[in-house]
Amino acid sequence: MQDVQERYTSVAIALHWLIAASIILQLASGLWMADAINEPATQALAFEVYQWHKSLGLTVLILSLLRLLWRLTHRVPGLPDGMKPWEIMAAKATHVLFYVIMIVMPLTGWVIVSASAFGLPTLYWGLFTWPHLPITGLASETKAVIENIFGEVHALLGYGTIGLLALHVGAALKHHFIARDAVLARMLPFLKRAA
Amino acid sequence: MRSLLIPALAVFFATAGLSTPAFAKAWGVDPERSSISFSGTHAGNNFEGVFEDWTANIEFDPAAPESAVVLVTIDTASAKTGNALYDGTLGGADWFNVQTYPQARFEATGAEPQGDGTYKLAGTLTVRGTSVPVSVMFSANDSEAKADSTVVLQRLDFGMGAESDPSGTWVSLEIPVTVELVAKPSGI
Repeated sequence: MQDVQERYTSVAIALHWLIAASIILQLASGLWMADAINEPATQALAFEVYQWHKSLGLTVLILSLLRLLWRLTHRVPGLPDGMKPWEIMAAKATHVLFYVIMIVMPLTGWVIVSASAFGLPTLYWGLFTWPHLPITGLASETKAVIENIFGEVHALLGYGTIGLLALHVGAALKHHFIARDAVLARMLPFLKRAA
Repeated sequence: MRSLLIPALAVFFATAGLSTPAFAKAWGVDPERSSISFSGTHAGNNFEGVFEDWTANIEFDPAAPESAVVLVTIDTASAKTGNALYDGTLGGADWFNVQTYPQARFEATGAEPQGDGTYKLAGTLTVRGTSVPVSVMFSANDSEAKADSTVVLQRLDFGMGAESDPSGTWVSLEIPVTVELVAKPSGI
């Protein structure tokens, strides 16, 4: 039980919630803008949202790589006693899948932007030009195929993220309100300890 | 644009002895009062830009307008809108394609008097290797020539945006280009 009471470090907690908020904003903006870009009334705003979505996605990539580095160099608090084997499996799988998505999702976005016929630069939060991947010189037909495939993958990963998020939040709430353990509290920034 | 006069003069002196008719006068552009600008819309928002680097070689004699020779050379990479996103795209392969076509040119020979000291200069504008006839109006007397002329260009005439935006969904198909130019006879 000692392990269960142990909290994540403040670095892990900060990264977790920054990435969580970013992912939710990315899902909301991504779902909206994909259609809004084709409506004359919302085209201009959607264009701005696309630029902003690119910067936030790359921010998720950077934060997630830091988070992965943290994860590989720290021992994480253990799971509470009494979890069934399938629950332990599900918890571990969800976390692994989150790491995969947090890193692969921005990369697929980067491919789409680099393959796009528009050739728009990515101005990272307006601070500097984020480079394209070295595929900009490919034939336009090839780039169109790449953009299409990665666009599909990006969308599918988006829906997958929503499912994963539901699992993750549902499990955290179950731990807190049904199992009444410290799993949620140890990741909350302002709570010292579960009651 | 700051250094228009010197290249214009240099080219004039270099070619003056070769082919220039004896009566043609060279004119130097006043960079402070001259500009080549363009505008359009993107996603419903207006944008405006200028070409920061261009030179004009002008030979013109009001007494013999038919002998006029005008060559304007525009550095396509100098197109600037002040919007980093647009400026980062303008030079790309589907737009100005500055790597393959670093310069755009306007060439004209012979000005047609329209009366009251105004002239029509019918020439050829070449962008991305494609030439389109373009006419510019100007007025001139012995000491000053002025143009303030807007030409509405169809960007698809030059294949600009033909790949990424052929229907004008994003960038207006019509791009008005405004030439404001003040020139004085060299040596005055």
